Amino acid sequence: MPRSWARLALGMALAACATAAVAAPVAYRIDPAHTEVIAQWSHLGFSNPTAHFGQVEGAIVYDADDVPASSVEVTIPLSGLNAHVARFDEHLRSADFFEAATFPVASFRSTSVEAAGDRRLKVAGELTIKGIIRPVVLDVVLNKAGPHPRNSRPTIGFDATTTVLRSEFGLGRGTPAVSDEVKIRITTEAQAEAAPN
Amino acid sequence: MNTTTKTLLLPLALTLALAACKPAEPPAPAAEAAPAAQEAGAPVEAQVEGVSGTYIIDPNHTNVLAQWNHFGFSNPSANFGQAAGTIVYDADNVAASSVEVTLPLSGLTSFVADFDAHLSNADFFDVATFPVATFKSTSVESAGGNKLKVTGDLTIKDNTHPVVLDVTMNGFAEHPMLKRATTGFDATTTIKRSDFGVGAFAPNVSDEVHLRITTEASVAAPEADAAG
Repeated sequence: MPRSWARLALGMALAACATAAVAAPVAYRIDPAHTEVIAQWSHLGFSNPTAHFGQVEGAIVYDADDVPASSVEVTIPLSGLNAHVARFDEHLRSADFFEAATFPVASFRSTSVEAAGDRRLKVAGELTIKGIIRPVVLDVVLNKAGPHPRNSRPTIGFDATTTVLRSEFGLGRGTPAVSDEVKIRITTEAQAEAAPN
Repeated sequence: MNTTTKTLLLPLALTLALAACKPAEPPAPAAEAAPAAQEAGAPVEAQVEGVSGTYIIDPNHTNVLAQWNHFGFSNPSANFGQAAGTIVYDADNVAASSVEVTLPLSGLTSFVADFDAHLSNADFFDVATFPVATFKSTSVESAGGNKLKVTGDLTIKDNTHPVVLDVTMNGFAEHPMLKRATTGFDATTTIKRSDFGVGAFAPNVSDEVHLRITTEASVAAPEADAAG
């Protein structure tokens, strides 16, 4: 029956595209110019200074239809560390803290991603600093996914927070007068390689 | 329907079907500012005992972080460092307290070198003409517990507008190394950058800028007192 044949073809096309539109995981490359990791601690109970980890590189895979298929992997070069005080930056890169000459990058790699409510995700992963690997859980907010207005490439943005104990990564000097707890705030923006089509 | 019509219509229908579904994108929720910073690292909710004094701001432990929204995707920040100034705290009469700060724009960093250069030029801060921003309080009042409400004039590029800071007193104690009376505060506020002549690219890059401040300040060294 030619007529039902046509209908079947149309139906299959619709079904195929409906799946394709939502199911495929999208791979995004992190934009270092719009990605920051800010670390904040308490200094003697008086102030809560911050340091900034920049030049972050990495990849985010996000699958809106199958969130656990999502993943993130980043490297954080310690050359991009900026604590706003030049002498302190030097001290942070020295053997007293990050030993940047021996361990030039920190890294994070997700081990599981799960939905945690409206636009919220829970991303568990492994944070590596100075060769020391510890599990970390990020509380993530999906800010926006859509075409970038400048170049139309699929773009996605997230914020995330977590708290780590710096002593667990061989960075415990000065605790507890300078807090062992370091609160991490992350923002990131990432783009797919090219617009689909 | 004859075969010719069918062969024409079927591709058309398929094309339409595909075109109809193609624009489907992941939902794009409205842009939202980053979750407001809780007082990260702020140690305890115990009542802070204020100690009267004139405290000199320590630029090495003072940050003014400005955060904005970039096209709804990310919430980048810049730091205004090298802050210099004085905090007067009057424990018996909080309203007699005051703060005065100078923020040299040479201390501004967005953590992206190209962008720092852009922020410094005439599109934004015009640092060559306006090398500093300033804040001078006009009123200080208690806001319950360890909170203060500090109203003042923020001046950027000769544009002066009132700003209200929500302030948390972190502590008053002798600094363990300096052996001088020391205090620390955190503060937050939100301003519209277009009010200060730095509105370029709003609203795609948000006009609203969230400010998070932390500061530490100590009384002058005893030598200075003796000399004065």
